[in-house]
Amino acid sequence: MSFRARSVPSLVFALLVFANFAGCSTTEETDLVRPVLPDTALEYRSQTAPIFGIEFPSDEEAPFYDERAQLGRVLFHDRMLSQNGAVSCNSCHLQSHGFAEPKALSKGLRSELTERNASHLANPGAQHVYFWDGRANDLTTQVTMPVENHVEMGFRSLEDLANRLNQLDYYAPLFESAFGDPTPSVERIQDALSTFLRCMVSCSSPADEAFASAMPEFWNPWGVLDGSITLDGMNSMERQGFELFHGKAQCANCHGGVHFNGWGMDFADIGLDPNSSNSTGQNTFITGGFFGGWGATAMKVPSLRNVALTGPYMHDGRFATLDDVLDHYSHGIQDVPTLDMRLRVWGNNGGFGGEDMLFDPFFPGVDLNEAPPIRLNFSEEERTALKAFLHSLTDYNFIQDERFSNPFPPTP
Amino acid sequence: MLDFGMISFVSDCKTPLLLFFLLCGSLLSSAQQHAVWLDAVPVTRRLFGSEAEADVHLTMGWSSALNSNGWRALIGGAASGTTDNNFGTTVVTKNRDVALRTGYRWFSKSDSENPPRCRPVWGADALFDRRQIGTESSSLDFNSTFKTVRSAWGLAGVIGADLMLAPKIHLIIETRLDAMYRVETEIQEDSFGGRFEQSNRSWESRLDPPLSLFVVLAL
Repeated sequence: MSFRARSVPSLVFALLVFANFAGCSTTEETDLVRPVLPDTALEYRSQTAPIFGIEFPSDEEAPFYDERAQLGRVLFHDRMLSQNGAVSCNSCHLQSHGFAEPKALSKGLRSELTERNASHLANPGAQHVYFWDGRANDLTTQVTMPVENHVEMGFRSLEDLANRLNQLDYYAPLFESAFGDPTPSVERIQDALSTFLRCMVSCSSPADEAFASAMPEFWNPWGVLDGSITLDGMNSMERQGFELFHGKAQCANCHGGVHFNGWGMDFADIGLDPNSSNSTGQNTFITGGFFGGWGATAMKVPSLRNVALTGPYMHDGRFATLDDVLDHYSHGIQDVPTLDMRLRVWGNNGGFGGEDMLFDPFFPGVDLNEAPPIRLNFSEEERTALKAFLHSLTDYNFIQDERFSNPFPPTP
Repeated sequence: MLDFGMISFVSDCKTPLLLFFLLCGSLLSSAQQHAVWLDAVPVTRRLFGSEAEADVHLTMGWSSALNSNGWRALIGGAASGTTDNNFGTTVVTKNRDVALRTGYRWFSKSDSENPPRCRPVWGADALFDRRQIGTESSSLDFNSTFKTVRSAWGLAGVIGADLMLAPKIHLIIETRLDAMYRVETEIQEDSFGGRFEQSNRSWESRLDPPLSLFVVLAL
């Protein structure tokens, strides 16, 4: 009995020691969820018409490009990129919603809400500034900024992330095939993720087909407006919407360019109601970025590709539907001092834009503060046409493209 | 392996707690009329439904005198916790806070026999505050913790007003200016063996708004 009495605590101690070491086991011994990938990387370079301005480096310029993009795909969908293993990039950027999230604000790694609405992703390589406030102007460094954000993914440093990936057995062969070396590093993570994002090309919506057919070389909406170019691939309602977009509705003053994103570098304060009950109350300060000169309350002009899928809208997700957005531009723009001049009526003839967009030092008679916000007062037909055009920008191939899908099997 | 429990948290505060209770013992053994203090604000908040149900928050204390200058000791605590399912990962968040405050108070008119109905009061406190905020995240294949432990020591100036509702019942509201030396430690751990710990030390001053409304009862 005395032998037993002494040996039981020893046995318990031994079990505890074993359990402790077992707790420090490698990932081989856990039920780690691993990605399911094709034997060879898919072709990630998309062929598009010159009008879209999408170019990819050649194999000589960027060897193992597909392998790097494939690694980026795994990283994008891997929840191990958050400190507590709860969220991945695609937790807030859902492919079925044009890589946006159908919520005003998103939940980060510990369920805290992010400060702003998750931006959708379509042709991020054609963008020159990133985040709503434009605080990043380089995709390579932008891709890992959410990783270090304490609300979003919560890593203390990117070196910690590289160490984490080093402990996940499925990354060594992916880094080996992408970079010729199995070791993860911050630069390689950024390279792979940004390569994957540059491959997220969305240029095959019904409208895109019409654009590529009617004006394959150069973006020329003015040719459509003056009748020299016909968008045969669009129905009459969509064409009417396109003409409104570039004409009376003045949408293209900000959402200019073939990607409808202000040529990838525009900002505007669009006169949102600061007292709206739908506002999340987040400040809209530009905190950096090359184009911060637009003003402290200006937000990046987002691309309108897949816009029908990417609601809710605006930086705080205050508008649930496209109708709400059209209501705002139709009669809801607030007369805030920082309102973008493109949204004021201040020409001598009651117009806006053109030379009247220059301000007081050049045109002493023009007083911005006295110019009221525009009131477009869309008719029902105009609203229907605008919505038809915006819906024609939905690229269903993009949101079903296997190359961008989640390679991790669902967890039970 | 990682302990977020209240027992561990309180054991880390044992030295300040021991000193605190020694002081309370000496207060109770003195000859003057003692008083017990209770912060009425959390109680009334809860009564009127404006306080989150999950949050526990209470401050109480003793003083060596009710109507004249004397020593005072307060102990306050707060605890809250939430459990959330975040994309299949269970995230448990726990907050713990213990604050000790002892010092001397002076009335503008210290009169134990005929105290005025209303009078200013001021004082000086030594204080200790320990706060722990942490989350434990667990999923089928991965566990991690992230916690921040903050300990602070310092001195405080106190100013307030004393209202005598009845000879043995007073109401006191006060505001404080705290100057503290703070040590904040951030710890991250995960089940792959990742561990990070970092401490920051700094001086901090803060003005506590007059949010404490004490009911003081003669013992």
